[in-house]
Amino acid sequence: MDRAVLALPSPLSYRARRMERFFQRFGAGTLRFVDYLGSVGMLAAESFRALVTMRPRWRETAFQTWNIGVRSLPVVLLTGAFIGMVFSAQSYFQFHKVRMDTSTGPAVSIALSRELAPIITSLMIAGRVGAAMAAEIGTMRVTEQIDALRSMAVLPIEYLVVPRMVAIAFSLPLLTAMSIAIGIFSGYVVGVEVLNIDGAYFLHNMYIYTEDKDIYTGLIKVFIFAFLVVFISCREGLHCEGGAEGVGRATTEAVVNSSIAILITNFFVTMLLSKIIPP
Amino acid sequence: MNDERRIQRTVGIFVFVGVLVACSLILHFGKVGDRFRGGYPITVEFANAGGLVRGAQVLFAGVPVGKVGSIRLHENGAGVEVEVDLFDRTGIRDDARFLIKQSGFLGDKHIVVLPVSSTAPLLKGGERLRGTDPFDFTDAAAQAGEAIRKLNTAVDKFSDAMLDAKTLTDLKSGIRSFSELGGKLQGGADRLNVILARVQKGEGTFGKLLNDPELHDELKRLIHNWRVHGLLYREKGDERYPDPKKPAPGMRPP
Repeated sequence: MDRAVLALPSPLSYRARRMERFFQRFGAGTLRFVDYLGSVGMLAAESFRALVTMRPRWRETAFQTWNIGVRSLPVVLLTGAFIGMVFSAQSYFQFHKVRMDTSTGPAVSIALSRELAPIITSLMIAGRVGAAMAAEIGTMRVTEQIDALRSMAVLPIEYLVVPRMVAIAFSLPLLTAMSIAIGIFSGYVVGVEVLNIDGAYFLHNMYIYTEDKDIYTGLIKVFIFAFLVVFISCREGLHCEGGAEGVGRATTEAVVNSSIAILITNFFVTMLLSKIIPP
Repeated sequence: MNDERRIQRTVGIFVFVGVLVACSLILHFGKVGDRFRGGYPITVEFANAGGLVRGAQVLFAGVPVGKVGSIRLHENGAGVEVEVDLFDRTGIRDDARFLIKQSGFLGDKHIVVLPVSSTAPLLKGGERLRGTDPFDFTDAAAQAGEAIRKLNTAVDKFSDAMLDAKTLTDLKSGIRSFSELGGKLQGGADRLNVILARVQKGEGTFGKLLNDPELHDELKRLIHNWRVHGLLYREKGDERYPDPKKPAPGMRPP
């Protein structure tokens, strides 16, 4: 009887075991996260080293620029245009309450330049290009093509990552600039032609209150986001395991992790840039 | 054209258009055109910059004629030095008044230039002017409050010192006496008016004397005779009053 009672777990030891399991999971998750950051960081470091030390592959870089920049142009312009239109309409609905209709112009241009166009373009690129990068490199990994590259004395990072890195770092700011321009234009069309805002003051207030630093801020942000997308996506592809299922998982994680990284980094970059380039 | 060539050309067009759009946005919103517009700087001193910011507009008769360059505290701490970059050919004269005003729903500050004369010499680059300080409602309210407080104090002191019960009684009786005196004076003035009216009409002894032309002539002759006979002063050689003892010219003595 006494032995049976002693064998039962006390409430305290049960709670302690739950706490232990919780900390084990939390610790394992933290370690996985740190390892993940480390692998992305190592990939970034090796890519920059390869960029500096090895001969650039212009042909591959041009192909990646076409793939990332030119082929993303329709989706970026489409999203930029509709974001500009909807933001113009929403701003007008609020400003109209206080008879400040013509403030819609600067609201659209500043919001597009600083936040909307950089974020939407980066997310579009993460979805379209990041997924493609992870799938392409992941497939090469599971079909052992990357090992084949190594056997031919070709460094996979130099051949696969560096051209993509250069191409996206170059293309994403250009795509963002085009997104800002098309967003402002479509916002103007909706504001002036549809909502009957005075076009002269729409443009005048936009010109007065928007500054070049608003454009710089957006372009600097997407330059940083470009590296996040390329390193996270390439890392997922290079660490892909488990055949077709692994490729699918890598693709999903590339998009999700890139998107989360963009949104989190956006906050800190905004705070940092507000100190360097005061708004 | 093979695929590789086509890709290169497409990438070239993409990069060209992208760089063009990015540069256009930066140049347009950076107001780069304004930087190349000729102009000249002047310095305007204010006691209070009143929330003015770098890049704020300078309006002359509602027309933009420049921008605020820099705002710095005066070396001796007496106020603020605002550097104003005026565009060329603005025609602002050196007696013009510079004021800080606010506009818009959000109260954005800008400088307004008010012309005074059309003959003063034109402003030149590097000149220093004293601006008219902006009207500050808070200061004005504080000063008005101080003035009202002093007035209240003065009224209280006057009330305490002068308006006690005895003074008020004396003041009342004084006013009453003054009122009675005024009534009497009014009665006297009325009677005097009646007398003067009668005199004017020639009634009564005094009225008849004053209005009698014969009496006037006789009085005139009497005064003349007194002067002739030396009872009143006369100028020597005055022909109007001949000496009665001397014979008149042209007459032979008897």
